[in-house]
Amino acid sequence: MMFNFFTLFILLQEVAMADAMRSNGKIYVVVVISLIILFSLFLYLYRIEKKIESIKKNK
Amino acid sequence: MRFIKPLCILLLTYTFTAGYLFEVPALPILNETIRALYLHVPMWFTMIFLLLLSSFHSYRYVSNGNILHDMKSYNFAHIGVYFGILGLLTGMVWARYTWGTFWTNDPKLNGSAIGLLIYFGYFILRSSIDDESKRGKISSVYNVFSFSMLIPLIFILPRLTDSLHPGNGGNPGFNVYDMNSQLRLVFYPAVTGFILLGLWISDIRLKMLKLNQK
Repeated sequence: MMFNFFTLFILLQEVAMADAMRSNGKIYVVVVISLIILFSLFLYLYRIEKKIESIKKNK
Repeated sequence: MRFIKPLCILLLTYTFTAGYLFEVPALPILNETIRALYLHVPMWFTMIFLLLLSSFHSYRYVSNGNILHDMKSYNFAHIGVYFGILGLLTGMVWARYTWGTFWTNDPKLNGSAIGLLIYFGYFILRSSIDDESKRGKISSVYNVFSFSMLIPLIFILPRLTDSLHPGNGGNPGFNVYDMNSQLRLVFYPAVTGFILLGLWISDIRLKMLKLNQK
């Protein structure tokens, strides 16, 4: 009985971990994934633009 | 033109974070899919904006004959139609999980599909004429016509009958019942951000077209 209470206490205890990504039904993970895709698209657009400009200069 | 890129990045970053995290109205059937408003509707706004610019440049080409206007109008139409296709695809997924099927005979759906087909006709017409000035003139006139067809197809006809889309079937769009201030807080930045993204992509593609021309 005592042992059961003890394990229950340990299980219920709040353990300080990287909980920020898990709160609110893990929606933050989706946000991070979307932002990764968005920023890589921005980077891609930016690099294409730079490439076109350099071709323009060389012509 | 210089503010376009940073503002676009800022607004879309805001959209893709606030869009998931902010409170939204809890409505039956829609549930969390109400957040698709921030992504699906801006596609159409961007399409309309780019196609408006396209028909404006077509009009300019007809009035002054500068080939740059023809190039711009073709370019804006091209990017605008891409955004329209994205709007159609995202709308189909959304419809599947709220209205039950990928495609309903909703006047707004059929209208936007016909509108896109009219623009496909524009690209086919353009590519079928070799002579530069003739191609410019004919396709410009067609382009002005197709934009003036798009407005009744998307905005007027769906309001004359019943539509599943909010704000249609007699009511003007964006009334107090359709959107609350929570949604507007993300929706307007999202629309602006995607329009700026459309302008950015158009700008890049225009540079490419100019290089090809030389």
